[in-house]
Parts: sequence; structure tokens; C-alpha cells
Amino acid sequence: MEGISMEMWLAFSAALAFFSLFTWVISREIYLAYGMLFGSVLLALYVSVKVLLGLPADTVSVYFLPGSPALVGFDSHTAVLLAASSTVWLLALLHFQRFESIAREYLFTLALIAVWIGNMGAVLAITPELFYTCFSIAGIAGWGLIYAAGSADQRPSSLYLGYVIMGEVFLAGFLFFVGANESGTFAMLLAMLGFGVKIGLFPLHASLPIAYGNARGLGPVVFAGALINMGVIGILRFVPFGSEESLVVGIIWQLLGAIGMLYGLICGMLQRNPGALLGYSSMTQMGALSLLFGAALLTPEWAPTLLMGIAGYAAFHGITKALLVLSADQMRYFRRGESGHYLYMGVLILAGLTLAGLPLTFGAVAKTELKEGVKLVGEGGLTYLSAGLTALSFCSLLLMGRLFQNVWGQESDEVAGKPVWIPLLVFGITAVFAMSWMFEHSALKTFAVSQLYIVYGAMLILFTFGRWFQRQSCLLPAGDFAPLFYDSLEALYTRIANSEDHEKASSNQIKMSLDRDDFYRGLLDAEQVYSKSWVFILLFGLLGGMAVFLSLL
Amino acid sequence: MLYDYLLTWIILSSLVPGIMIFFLPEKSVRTRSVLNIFGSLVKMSLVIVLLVQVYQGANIYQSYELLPGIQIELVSDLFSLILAVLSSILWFFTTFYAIGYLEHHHSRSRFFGFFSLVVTATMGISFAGNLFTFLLFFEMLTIVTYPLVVHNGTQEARKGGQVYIAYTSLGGVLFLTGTVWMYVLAGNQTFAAGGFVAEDFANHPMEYSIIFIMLICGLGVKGALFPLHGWLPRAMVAPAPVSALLHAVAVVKAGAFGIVRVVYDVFGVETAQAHGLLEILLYMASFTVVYGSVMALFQDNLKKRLAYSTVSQVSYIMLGVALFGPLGTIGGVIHLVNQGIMKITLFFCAGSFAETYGIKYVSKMDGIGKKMPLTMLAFTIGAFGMMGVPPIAGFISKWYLGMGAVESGMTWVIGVLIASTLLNAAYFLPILYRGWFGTFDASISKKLDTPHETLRLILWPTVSVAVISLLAGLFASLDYSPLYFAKIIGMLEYGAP
Repeated sequence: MEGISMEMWLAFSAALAFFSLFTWVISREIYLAYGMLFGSVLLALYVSVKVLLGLPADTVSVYFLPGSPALVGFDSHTAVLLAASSTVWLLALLHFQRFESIAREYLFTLALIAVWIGNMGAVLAITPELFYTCFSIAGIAGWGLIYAAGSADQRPSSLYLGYVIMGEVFLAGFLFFVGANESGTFAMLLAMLGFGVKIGLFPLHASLPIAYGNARGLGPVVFAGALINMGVIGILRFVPFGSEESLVVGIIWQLLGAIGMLYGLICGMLQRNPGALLGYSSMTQMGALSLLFGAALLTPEWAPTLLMGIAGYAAFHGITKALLVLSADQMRYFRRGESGHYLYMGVLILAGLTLAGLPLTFGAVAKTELKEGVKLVGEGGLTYLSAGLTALSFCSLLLMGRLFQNVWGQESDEVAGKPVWIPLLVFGITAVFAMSWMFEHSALKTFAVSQLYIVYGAMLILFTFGRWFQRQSCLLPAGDFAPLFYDSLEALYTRIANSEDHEKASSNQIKMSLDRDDFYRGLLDAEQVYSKSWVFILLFGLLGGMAVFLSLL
Repeated sequence: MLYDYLLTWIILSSLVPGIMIFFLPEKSVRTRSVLNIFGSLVKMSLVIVLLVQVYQGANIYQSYELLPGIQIELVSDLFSLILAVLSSILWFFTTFYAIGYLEHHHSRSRFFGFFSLVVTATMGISFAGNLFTFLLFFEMLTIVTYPLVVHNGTQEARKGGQVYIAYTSLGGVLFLTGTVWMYVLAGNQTFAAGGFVAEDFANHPMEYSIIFIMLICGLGVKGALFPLHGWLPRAMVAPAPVSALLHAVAVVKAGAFGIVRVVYDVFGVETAQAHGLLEILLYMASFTVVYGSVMALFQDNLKKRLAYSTVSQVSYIMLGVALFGPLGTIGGVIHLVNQGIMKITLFFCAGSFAETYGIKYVSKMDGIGKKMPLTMLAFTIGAFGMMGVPPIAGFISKWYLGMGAVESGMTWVIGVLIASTLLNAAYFLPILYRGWFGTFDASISKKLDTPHETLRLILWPTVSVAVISLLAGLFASLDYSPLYFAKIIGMLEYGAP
């Protein structure tokens, strides 16, 4: 054991992953394939924990595509994010027998192993070509996790793929700059858009709720916990924070982040599917991180501190989100009164409160890390960031309340308004008072008390509007406006397929005229799904987010 | 002795079998096939011998005086080798494919005769050492391709042939005029690294600029530059092996290859850049890239969709050249090879679908992947390659083109690449989706009598070229890979380390 270097362990891990893929293709022995995958994940976790504990790890050159050697290895953010990702995978794989059966199991398992290979590669890749390759493999294979569910509705899988490809193309554009050692506003914009699809930046966010809400089995856990962090690690590794031309992008990034927080909150509150709701919650969380990414572009001197906090927070968010998705899913298999039901409910509540950053939780610690950087930046003039973090707590708490409401009522038709806010209130108030009682430190006390207002505010809103939300028959589909685009495009495509009269297909004129009615039919059909009031509410969210951000500036 | 006349041997290795095939009776299938395969094997071997010779530093050059002062010159520089190797290897596979594909067709002696002549012309174009030789083979290509385009003899085919000949004759006239004017003005025609008119350009800037535009437009017809591309989607009525050759190695490539030659070896890239000529090419190519992709979206006929895809993809080559920098050059030159391999894969597949099940339209392709898994897999590799998904060959092209755009400071070109890639995905992914996940229409019956998914002579060439396009990406960093030569060319043009 002693003589084996970290690199060798990593190589073993990668080899196991490829063997697992191979085994599955050749033999379709599910236990063998999953066993190897499990081993691969375990080794990756072992290595990352060792590196976190201070063991040295060099970069390694691996054989790869065009000419220049491709590098894999650890930088200051990698180990923590690899540890988080492999923890999430471990969590998901441990439960693999507990999920419902998948319609297309062959495709699902194939995709799952490919996603792990891409995910591990993207976290470790240092050279842009290798990163891009792994990032695309994970993104495109993720489509398999949704498609394999075997749903008759093709919209979710196709939309997900569309968004992923859009993101990857932007990303490729950005990595051209990285490959040529150049930078500039355009490069930064491409980076923001390319990674933005992965981290759910407004308005490219639709793939998150769609993926979380429609993947089956351990798919949503992997999406929520591991894949989203590929975007974060890409930003941390390749975006040249600290260069001076990035002021414009910094402001745009913050603006989109602020809008995304509010927009994610509103859309999330209108979800019934816990997965989709958590997707919007991730959008809100990443909106807050986008505020910080923007801040790092605006104040290069504090960027390292900010980024370190962001890496830690992203790791924390991944694990917590995975727990939430997992427990919300598992609760469906137990009736109320069974011990499993309470176990997963307990995990759900704890993870939810942690996500909202309530005192005494891991979330509070992760947020304190973030606040270090925010404090520094605040002294530099960007005072609104700490307000942004407070808003994040508030949004998260509201969304978590809505989540409890959904899962509590999901096995019975009973409209559950009350049971939700009582445990929240009790837990929140106790935690806050315990906190202020235990610590004499005045800063912490202030923090605890400020959290109390957030808890009260969220409770008030949930109490007042909780039943109203639950009663709404017409809720927003996962991906809000994206299905609308899909319908319009589908109408367009049908039109093209029918427009060429096949007898005359090769006659003189190339027919490409579009029937306007067909084109807009998608929009008209959609009216049943999108009642007008929601459109107004969403627009309000959009404008409100912008107004809040601008006023803060 | 053998080496001295190597270039002539290579050209003769398809010319002689081609002429012999014309005199074969229709029924002697075996003799014809043997001649075809023998010719392509000999050519491929000779080209490999040439490659080794050139790599060892031999400078193989031949010239025949045709008229006083007008010579046929054959050279073997790295750039000519790239096209020669590509077309000899792809011709080898296409020969097998065509033998299988045309098993039950008429007039096969005529077909295979002209088929060999097309390759002869392409070889001549790649080894041409001066503008006159280039023109000679370029015009020969126009003429010998026509009978292949109209091979089916239907009214549609004749119509397509008419359009083809109209466009290419126009291009030929422009190119001829440009060549003659150039000869009068410069008194010299031999291609030279850095351009043979580079020094004289300043004396007649106006005239040379017009000549440049004439040459580019003349070549641009075959290279399918907008707005001279109209013949290409129409020429898809030709049998699949012809379309494959047309799109991947012969006609379209000849145009693109010629444009690269004119920029590098006639005018010199520095001169062309200094006088703003490259910029014209850049805008034309960029527009064509996006235009071809948009048009491809609206085609239901599979071969037509692929044809518009060619319009778009071939312009990447010109784009790479016009980017003015070593990385752009590498991207353009490597795409000459990569586009050829990937597009021939796609056309082989399209022909295979049409020949086996009579499926010609994207909207009829539902579930074809379950009936023809290997062919559909090959199509998938080709399509992903065209989109630039790693590790397929197309990724390498896009990677270098993108970096080239950044290097030369023309970042808007990245926008072009992004738009085109998104459009590529938009027109290829629905095909893949239908093919793999659709439900096969039970009323469609198999037209070929074979226990396999299709005739083996059709299947294996298709699978082989798909594997090559995967390998060209995976092993791009090895010595002797196409990328290796493209890099040397890039270095030679710009003198970079």
C-alpha cells in the first residue's frame, strides 16, 4: 500500500471504470458492472481524501488527442470537489438496488458508467482538450439517464440534449481561447454561457429542472450532486479571474445570477415534482455563486479567497442536494408510519435546513467560508454580496418548505399545509436560540439573530400561501419556457418533413416556405400549460430580480 | 528509374485500367472488378512508396514540354501528398463499394471507365506543379464527372447534369481566363512556396487582384462557395458512390485544394493578406459555412441534406486558410482530409439505406438502426465527427480552426464556428434519433437478397471508413498522421517553430 502513489490509484480507478463499461457491454452482468463502478468510485474517493489530508500528488501526463500531452492532476480546488463528487456517487450506488426498475436498463447502465468516466475525467483534467472531451462525454451520456426512463414524452430528453449541446459549443468557443493562450471579453462571455448551461445560469437554466425531474433511478442524484459541479470546476480552473478586461462580463454575470435567484425561487415554488423543484433550487444556489463569480471578476485581488470559498460551498451543495434528491425519491417507497419513511424524512429535513444555511449545520460552516471572501470584497465596495447571501438563505428556506409540503402530501391526496411549517418553525427557533445561547461571540450572535428573521419571514409566507400553492391545478412544467420552444420547433420540423412533396422532391425549386399557422401552433397549444397568470408572475420575477440588483449597484 | 517517373506511374495506374474498362463487354464483371481493384491497389501502393520517398527527403519532379514555354509539371510536395494519399485510400474503398452497389445496374463499363478517369484527374490535380497543369486536369475532371452524374439516365439526372455542367463550365472559363492573364502578366506559372507573383504584385496590384478573384471564383464553383454552390445539391441524383467521391475527394476537394494552392503557392499568403484579398475569401467562406448549415436544416432528402452539409464543411478549409496563421492553416489542411473521410462515410451509409431498403428521406428513417446496426453506427460516427465531437477526426479540425481564429484575433469567426456547430447538431441529431429510437415501418421491405444487413461489399467499405475517421482523431498526435503533415505545412508556410 505504501509504495503505491496517488497517480497509480487514480489509474486503477480509471481502469476499473473502463472495465466496468466493457463488462457491461460484453456480458450484461449488472452486479459485476456496478461492482467495478463502485470500486472505481471508492478509489477516487480514497485518493481525494488522501490529497485533502495533505499527501502530495503530481500532475500526470496521459496520452491524448492532438499532439500536446494532456495533463490530469490536482489543483487547489480539485481534491475537495472530487471528494464531494465521489461521495455523491457512492451514496447513489449504495442505493442502486433500492430504485425502481428502469425501462431501458442496458442504455441506462451504459450511460451511467460513461457519465462517471466523464465526470472523473473532467474534475481531474488540466489541459483544455481533455477537459472538453470528458465534459462532453458526461453531458451527452447524461441524456441516456433521462431517455432510458422510457417515458413516452420525448420533450425532456431532447430538451436536455439540446441545452447540453448548446453549452458545449459555447464552451468549445471559450476553450479555443484557452488553447491559444488568449483572453478577452468575448472569451469570458463564452465561458459564462458555456458553463452557465451546466450550473443553471438564467436564461440557460432549463436543463437542471428537466434533468432532475425526469431522470430515473440514481440519475437525479448524480445530476444534482456531481454533474453540476463539473461546471463549477471548469469555471474555477479555466476562467482567468484577475484579468482586467472582465468588468463587463462580471456585471452581466452578477445580473444574471441575481435574476436567476429570484426566477428559480418563483419557478421552484410552482413545482410539484420534487426533482424539478430541487433543480430550481440549484438554480437559486448557483445564482448566488454567480454573484460571487462576477465579484471575483470585478475584484481580481480578492478572487483567490472568493474562489476557495466557492469550491467548498459547491462541494457542500453537491452532497446536500444529492441527499435531498435521494431522500425525496426514497420516501415514495414507504408508507407513512414505516420507519424508513421517518428516516428519509429526517434526512430530508436536516439536509433542507442545512441547505438554507441555518445555524449549527454544515451549511452554516460552508457559508461562513464564503462570507470570508464576501467580507473582504465588501470592504472593497461590493457591499451587496452579503445581502445576496442572506437572500439565498431566504429563497432556499422557502423552496425547502415547499419541498416538504410536496413530499409530505405525495402519497396521500390530503392537502398538507400545516404539518410543514410546524417542524420547520420548531427546529429553526430552537436552533437559533441554542446558537445564541451557546456562543457568546457577538458576530455569531448577530448572524444567528439575522437568521431568525429569515426563518420567521419564510414561515409567514409559507403559512399564508402554502395552501394556495398546493391548490394550484395548473403548475409550471419543469424547464418553464423550454418546452414551449420545443413545441414550436417540433411544429417547424413536422412542417419541413411534410413540405417536400416527395414526388417532386428534386424538382427545380427548393421548398422552404413555412406555414405560419404551423409554426405558431406550438405556442397556442402551450396556452393550456402556461396559464397567463404564471407568465405574468415569471415576468415579474425577471424584472424584480433586475430591479433589485440594479438598486443594489 | 522507377522513382523518377513515380508521379507518372501513379497517374497511369488509374488511367490505363480506366481506358481498358471502356472496351470490356458489359457481362465481364469479373475482369472489370479485377482491373478496378488491381488499379486501386497499385495506386495506393505507389502513393505509399512516394510518401516514404518524400519523407526521406527525395524531391520528385517531372516535366514534359507541351508547347514552347508551356509545360506539364508534376511535383510532390507535402500538400499534394495530402490529397493524393487521401484520394488513393478512399478510392480503394469506393471501388469495392461501387462494385457492390452497382451489381444490378446498367452500363457498368461506362461507369467504371469514367470512375477511374475521375481519380486520374484528381491525382493530376494533386501533383500539378503549375497553373496550366492544374487547369488541364481540372477541366478533365469536369468532363469525366458529367457521365457519372447523369448515370441513372432519368430526367432528373439529366437535369442535374445540365446544372452541373453549366456551373462548372462557367467556373472553368473564369479559371482559364485568370490563368492566361496571369501567364501574360507574370510570365511564369510554376507554383512556389510563398507565391510566384509575390514580388511582382506591387507592379500590377489592380490586375492581380482581379485575377485572384477570377481564380477563386473559378475554383469556388467546384469548391461550392456561396453563391456558386447551386450545382452541388442538384448533383446528388448521381449514384451513391459517385456522390461519395464527388463530395469527399474529387470535385469539391479539387476546388478547395485549388483555392489553397492559389493562396499559398501562386500569390503567397503574406501578399494575399497584405492586399486584403484573404479578407474577401474569409467573408465568403464564413457566410457559406453558416448558409450551408441553415439550408441543410430544411432538407428531408438525406443526400440533399448531406450535400448542403458539404457546402458548409468544405468552406471550413477555405476559412482555415483565410485565417492567416499557422494554426488556421493546420485546421484548414487537416479538414481537407477529415471532411473527406467523414463525408464519404455518410454518403456510403446514405447509399446503403437507399439500396437496401429504398429509404431516401430522413422522415422515413425511423428505426433503421435496428435493421442495419453497423451502417447506422458508421453514420453516427460520421455525424458526430461532423459536429466536432471528440475523439472523432472532426474535433481536431474544429479545435485548430478555433484556436487559429483566436490566434489571428478574428474572434467573430468563433461565433461562426459556434453557429455552424449548433446547426450541425440540429440537422444531424434528428436523423440519429429517428434511426436509433424510431419504430421501423413494417411496410418497407428489403430490396436486396442477403442474409446480412446489406451486401458485404457495401457494408465493409462503410464500416472501414468510419473506423478510419475514428482513428484519424484518436491517433492524430502520432507521426505520419494527417495532422503531422498538416502541422509541417503550417510551419513551412509561416516559418513558425
